[in-house]
Amino acid sequence: MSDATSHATTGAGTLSAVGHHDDHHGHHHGNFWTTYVFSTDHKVIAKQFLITGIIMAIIGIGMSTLFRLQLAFPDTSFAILEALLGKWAPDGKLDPNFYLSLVTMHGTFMVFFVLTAGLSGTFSNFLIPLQIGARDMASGFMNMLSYWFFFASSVIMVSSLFVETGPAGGGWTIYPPLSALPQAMPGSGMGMTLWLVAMTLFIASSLLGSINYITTVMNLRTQGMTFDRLPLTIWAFFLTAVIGVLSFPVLFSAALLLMFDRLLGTSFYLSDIFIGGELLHYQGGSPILFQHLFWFLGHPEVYIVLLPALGISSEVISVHARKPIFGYKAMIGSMVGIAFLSFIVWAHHMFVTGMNPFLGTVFMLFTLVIAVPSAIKAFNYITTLWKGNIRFTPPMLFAIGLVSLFITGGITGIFLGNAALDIPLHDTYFVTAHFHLVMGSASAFGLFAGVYHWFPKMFGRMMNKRLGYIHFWLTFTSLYLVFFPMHFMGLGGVARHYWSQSAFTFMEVFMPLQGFITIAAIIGFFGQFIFLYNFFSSIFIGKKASLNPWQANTLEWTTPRVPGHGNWPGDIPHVYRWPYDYSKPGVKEDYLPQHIPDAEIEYEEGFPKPATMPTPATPAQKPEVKEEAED
Amino acid sequence: MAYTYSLEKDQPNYIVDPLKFALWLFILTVIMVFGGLTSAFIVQRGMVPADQQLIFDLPAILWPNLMLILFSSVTLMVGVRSLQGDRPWLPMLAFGMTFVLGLLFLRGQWQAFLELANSGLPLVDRSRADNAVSHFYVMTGLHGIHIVAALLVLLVGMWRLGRALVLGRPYQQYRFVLTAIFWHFLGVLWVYLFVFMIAQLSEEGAGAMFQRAFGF
Ligand code: HEM
Ligand SMILES: [Cu+2]
Repeated sequence: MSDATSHATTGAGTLSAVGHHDDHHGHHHGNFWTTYVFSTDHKVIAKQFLITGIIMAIIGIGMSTLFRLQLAFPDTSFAILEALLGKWAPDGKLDPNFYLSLVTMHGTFMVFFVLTAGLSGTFSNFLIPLQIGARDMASGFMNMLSYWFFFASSVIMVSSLFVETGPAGGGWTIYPPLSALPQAMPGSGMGMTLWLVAMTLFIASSLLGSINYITTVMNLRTQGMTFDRLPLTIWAFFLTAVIGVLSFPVLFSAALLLMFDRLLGTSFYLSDIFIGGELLHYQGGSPILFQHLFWFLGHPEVYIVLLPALGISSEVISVHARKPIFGYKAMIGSMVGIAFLSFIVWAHHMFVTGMNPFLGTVFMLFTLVIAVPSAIKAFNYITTLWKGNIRFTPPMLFAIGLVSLFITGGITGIFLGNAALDIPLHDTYFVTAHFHLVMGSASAFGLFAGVYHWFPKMFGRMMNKRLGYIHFWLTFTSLYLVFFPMHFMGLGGVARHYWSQSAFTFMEVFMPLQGFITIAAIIGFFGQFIFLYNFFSSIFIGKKASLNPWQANTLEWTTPRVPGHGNWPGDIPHVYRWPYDYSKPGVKEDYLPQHIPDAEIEYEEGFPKPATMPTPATPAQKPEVKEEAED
Repeated sequence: MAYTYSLEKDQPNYIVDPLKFALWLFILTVIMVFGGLTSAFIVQRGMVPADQQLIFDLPAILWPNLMLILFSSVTLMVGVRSLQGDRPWLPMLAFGMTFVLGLLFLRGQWQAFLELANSGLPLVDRSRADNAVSHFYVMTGLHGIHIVAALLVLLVGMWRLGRALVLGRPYQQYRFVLTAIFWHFLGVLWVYLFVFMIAQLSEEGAGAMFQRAFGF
């Protein structure tokens, strides 16, 4: 497949050539700034995304422990709250408005900054070039821009925590009118404006990243790396980017109209509103329009968060179970199916907006259909593990934990997808439980699995195993202890986003449970410091990693221990097979890397050598073994 | 220890040129933005009872504006085609014309805004329960911002081309190909928006509006 494309003749730099040019300079006369700060190297950018994501996660999770204290002990005065938050926690109790702001910022930080940018930004950047056999992203420059837009966005979002009226408080979904009328409540003021500015930059960052990922996967694969030989990680990152390119622009449209309403006084989302007894003369707008536009992004967004984690766990589970992934094509097919369906289910977030019941039924149908590809994936994970030669390493534990959380959280999605059931359950803790398990926890586990698995490639050292185990068990148990009881609170009618539940008798019976949840959450929170210590100390004092510590098949393990610019010192390896040849009968080792040509495979002694001989009588031959690539 | 990395270009599996491909993806995002805005328009339109929907005469200047932007696509195409020819200043002239046409288009759009606002249909009017005009401003304005961005890209290209011509150096033709793709796209986008607005907002229809604009 070598078509000399037009760029060669027109003498223009292609994206990749531009990237290399920069690398060239960076490598030889690189100073601190071009090597570590304004770097165009995909591996450095990946680490930048990871570190920024970790910082945002510390703030985001930290905020949740603060409001958990409030929820569990609304009448207790905590000196720590007053010390940390000053006027936002008079007498050591959270101010109600600030409670709403904390919930909003927690959601925003975790969904967008940690699990979108921190997850996709890190692993798409790090793994796409390494696993498809490319020297860098299609455009190193655009990649760098993507990070710096994200950085600016993070800085603005964090700085909104410090403005006079507090950060945005209308929920991470920023529904109008709270988000459209600056005078509606403190959290609708300056904080909300900064939220919109930060998110605009975030959208730009995400689009720059996604365009780059798609272009790279389409065009820069090495010889022999056909689409049916791509690791499932790459498939997942690719589809995630496609979803991003199609959905984030619509969030921009929604935010644009919102800014017009906020700043210029139009009434796209506003109509017939009273504030403090005074009638505001907005006419003809509809907050429901915003919800449609928001959830057209919002639902695909939850899959933008989840798919990379599913890709990572597919790879990790196959490697550490020493078995081919079960149903490779079915895995791809179900990811494609999920990606497609994710665009036609958004209104399941809006069953209670008074929509036409017929329309509700249509959306309910599509929503429930998503359970099919999701279930296919879950079963394929389990069948991959089945009779595997499982190595219970920390990444493997997190990947298995992901499967568990994905199933537990996904099942409640089916409850919520039924319009009739959703009407009582909407905006209760049942929903909180659902999405924290399936989106929050499962994706965070994908992130952890990825970090533990690829740490040796990122930093050339291993993370401490024992600390990894402690981290896993603390996190896993605390997550279940926190979120599982929430289902029962939700079934009991406890509403989410309430500052205090002690005012309602039917909610008050759950107060002891709230206390239990808060304690579990705080234990889980402190468990994360074990990870932080392990991560940062292993960069410097971890055991030196071998070239292929997990004995994996994919191309990144053919690079030097700490790959430099261009990833491979010599030629880029070619690819001769799919990435999941583990425990292949007859082959000497229990893995068969993608870059080994058939002629060089070492067989067990005494094993008839069929694979390269086109003899008709070889029934043992597996169907996955492809003829050599078409080059 | 320092590795020596090969900086030679490997032969990747190009399907199309990466830069062009990335541009098309960007165009896709712009399509999604305007797709979102037009569906918002349709949804809000649907909330107003049919007999109360606002219809009016769109500013006639939109017709000459349409011609301007379509013609600018032609001049840009001439410029790109003549890059390979032996008259080095011809492309410069064509790009310059494109640039001027683009500016004229922007001025015309601005006049349409003023005309509309002066005829009692400003961006913000809380005595109306129909947001259609506000949508018109937002979509037209956002399209205009894209035109501004494209003009800046064109200007940078012309600057580099001019410098290369003066210094007698080879220049990058390829960026003009990309600029042209984006410019043509913006033209097509405007055609779409124009037709959409006429269908949704205009009382008189395209033909009558054309007559009003040109007097025949
Ligand atoms: C079996 C598949 C799933 C179904 C049928 C499903 C269904 C639903 C429904 C109906 C709601 C709305 C509940 C309400 O607000 O009343 C909901 C909320 C939510 N779901 Fe799912 N879901 C599924 C899987 C997922 C996955 C895989 C994710 C993320 C990775 C996810 C993330 C969310 C989030 C974030 C919310 C709440 C957003 C909010 O209101 O703040 N869901 N889900
Ligand atoms: Cu959803």
